[in-house]
Amino acid sequence: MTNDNSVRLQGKKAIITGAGSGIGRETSIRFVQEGAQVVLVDRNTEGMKQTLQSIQALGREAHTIQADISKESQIQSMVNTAIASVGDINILVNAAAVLIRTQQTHQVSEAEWDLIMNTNLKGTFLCCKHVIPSMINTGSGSIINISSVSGIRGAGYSLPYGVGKAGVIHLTTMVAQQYTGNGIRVNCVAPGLVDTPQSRGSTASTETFESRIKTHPMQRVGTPNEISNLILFLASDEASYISGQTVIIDGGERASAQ
Amino acid sequence: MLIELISKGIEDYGFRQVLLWSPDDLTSLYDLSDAEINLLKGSVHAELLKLPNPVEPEQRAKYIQFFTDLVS
Repeated sequence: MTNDNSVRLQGKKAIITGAGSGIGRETSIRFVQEGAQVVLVDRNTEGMKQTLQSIQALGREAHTIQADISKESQIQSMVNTAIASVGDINILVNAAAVLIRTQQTHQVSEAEWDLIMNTNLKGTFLCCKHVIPSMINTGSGSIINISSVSGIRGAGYSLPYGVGKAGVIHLTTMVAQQYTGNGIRVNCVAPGLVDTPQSRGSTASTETFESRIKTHPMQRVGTPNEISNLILFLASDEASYISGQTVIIDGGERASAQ
Repeated sequence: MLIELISKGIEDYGFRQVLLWSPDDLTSLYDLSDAEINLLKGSVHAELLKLPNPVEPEQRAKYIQFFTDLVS
């Protein structure tokens, strides 16, 4: 659902990681539609190019920066470039993540653990670390970290993914505790199953993916657009009294399981 | 080792993203040679981009054979 006349982020400057696909892409497009100047960040240059084309098809523009968020030198450089391009940053959406299926704990390799943790948890931390000084400069900001219901429940395809996403939730709490007093709101979104390339590609088969739809209380999975609606709300001034929260958005799946 | 990693990337979209966009990370984690990394960044990268998502279980053997031929 979009409203072409709405400009809920007019004048805001946003960095969105993971902008090359899924929730990050949809959020990027949505933010541009709502008047924000957006810096797209992804290591996936092909995906980022497609996101930019979608934005340009709307008659708008965005900046693109290729960066691997697990590397501090790249994040530092990315943030410096973003600020040089658009000015101080008002919004950071940490949507970049990787889900690698793993077996049970005793069979998880150190490499799998490192690859997932370095992107999903360390990368989210690094982006917060390097964007926060810019937000302190302006006296305000909104950070939205993307976790997952995998970071809350005990089931899932990947131990390091679940643990990393749980870490993102606690990172959110602690960063909010430290910076809400500086005018920086920090919140977290924990989606359930969403129809993204990552979700489909991390499920064993299309048949398995679609079997999950049958057991969902809404008989469907979420869309990236539905997640971007929540991210937009948390980024906007409409959420001006919300900080330190994790919002589950799963179509009632977790409630139904309780 | 390279074909094992590619096979994992065929089965798993997330691991495929690492192969595609962070091949240098694999050098130390999996002890790949320079020649293998160059293959990953070159012909393997181009072909991995063409894979469907997901690669259905019944398709995997075909793609593993394709990449085995490509890197051997």
